[in-house]
Amino acid sequence: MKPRRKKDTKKPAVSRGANQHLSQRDDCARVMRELEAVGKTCPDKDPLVEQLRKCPETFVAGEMLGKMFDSLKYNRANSENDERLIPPAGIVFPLV
Amino acid sequence: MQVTVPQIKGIRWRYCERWDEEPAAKLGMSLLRLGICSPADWAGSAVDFVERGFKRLAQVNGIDEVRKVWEGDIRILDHTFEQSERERYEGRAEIDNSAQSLFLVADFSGAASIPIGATLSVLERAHKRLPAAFFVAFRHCLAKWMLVYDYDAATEHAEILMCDREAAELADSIYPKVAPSLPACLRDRLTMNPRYACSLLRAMQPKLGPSRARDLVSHLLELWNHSAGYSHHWPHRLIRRIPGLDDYLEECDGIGPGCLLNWYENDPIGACCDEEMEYIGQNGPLAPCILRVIRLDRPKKNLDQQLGRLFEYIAAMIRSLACAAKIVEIMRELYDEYQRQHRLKSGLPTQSSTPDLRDEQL
Repeated sequence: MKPRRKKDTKKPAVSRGANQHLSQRDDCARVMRELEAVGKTCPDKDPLVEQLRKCPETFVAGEMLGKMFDSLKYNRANSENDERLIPPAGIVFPLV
Repeated sequence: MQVTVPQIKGIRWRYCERWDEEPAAKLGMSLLRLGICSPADWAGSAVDFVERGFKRLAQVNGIDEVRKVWEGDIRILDHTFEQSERERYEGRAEIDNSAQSLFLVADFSGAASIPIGATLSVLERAHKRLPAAFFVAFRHCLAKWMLVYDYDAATEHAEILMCDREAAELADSIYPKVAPSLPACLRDRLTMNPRYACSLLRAMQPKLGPSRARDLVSHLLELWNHSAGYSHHWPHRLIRRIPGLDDYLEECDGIGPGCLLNWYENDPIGACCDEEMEYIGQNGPLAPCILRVIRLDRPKKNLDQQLGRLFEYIAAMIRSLACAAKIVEIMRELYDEYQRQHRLKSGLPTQSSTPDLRDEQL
């Protein structure tokens, strides 16, 4: 009987299906960690707070826009007693 | 003038407060374990995460079909009572911890018009006992998910208002016309046991040839299966579990019906419903149609079981309403056919329905 040569097949250590399964499990674990961290994040590490710290003018501009939208929302656009909104000098509305 | 506004990159369009995000995160973790939410739903906000899972569940179970007929909302809230924005903020300022309970609230903002008269005639031609079995089973299934304004509700309303009035006063009134409006095929059969009605439908279905009657019975049996094992969660069922709910419901001015199940448009039942709807909600807020509570402060396993049951309830509600919508659409077609024939025979123009009762939105 002629000996049959065993085919040299290289099986991957982990099949594609199993890879997908592992990746899904990792994704689940990552999202679970993110959800667990909700409400526990230190404000200093919040990316939004960090960016505002670097550019405080943005906060002033945002606050100003918020007040403008509020005045439109509550129909106070023509009120004379409203405080005057002054943007941070030279950054928000640079003069041409 | 050149306007430059500083831009912060990588910031989401919507931010929720800690009071919203924390309970949503607890809910989200459980929904992720249950497979209702998936990792792909995560975009940085727990509220958005839950919303995506919830919307997908609604989509899969047929919310688009539901929207063709029913008008209302299914919501998950952290408060049971109607509150203004200010009241909500003031309430939150007083508590340090986020909500430990969430509420599933479902209510109908409009009553879908279901003129069943023409359908009953079609069913009667197939079998004389079919109309009663169909009516009883259909009403029973709808009542699991909504308040149904029907012949019984109109009769009660008419009887109360006829109580102290003289016969002369009632000569031109609609109230004495409500009771006799009951079609002959339903007389003495409205008290039929819904289970018996369903068994009659099951027995008759194979004998019906391909027809509208067969389609209606098949959809109704499907609706029966979707709603089997569920009951209506009226808000008063939670009175002992939610402090203050009793007082709130006392102040409420009723519950808005999900549908008007009458014989024909503009009939005495419709007139009674219009009359009641004119005043409902004037003396207080409307109570929710369905109210269920979610306790977030439970151990993981218990919370998952609780939410699994709750979301299966929501899915069953949507599947049932989608199935009921198919039935209502056939009924409306039959009614429109009846109207066309009736108009040709009588030569009288038909009146259009009240727009708010035939509004097809959700």
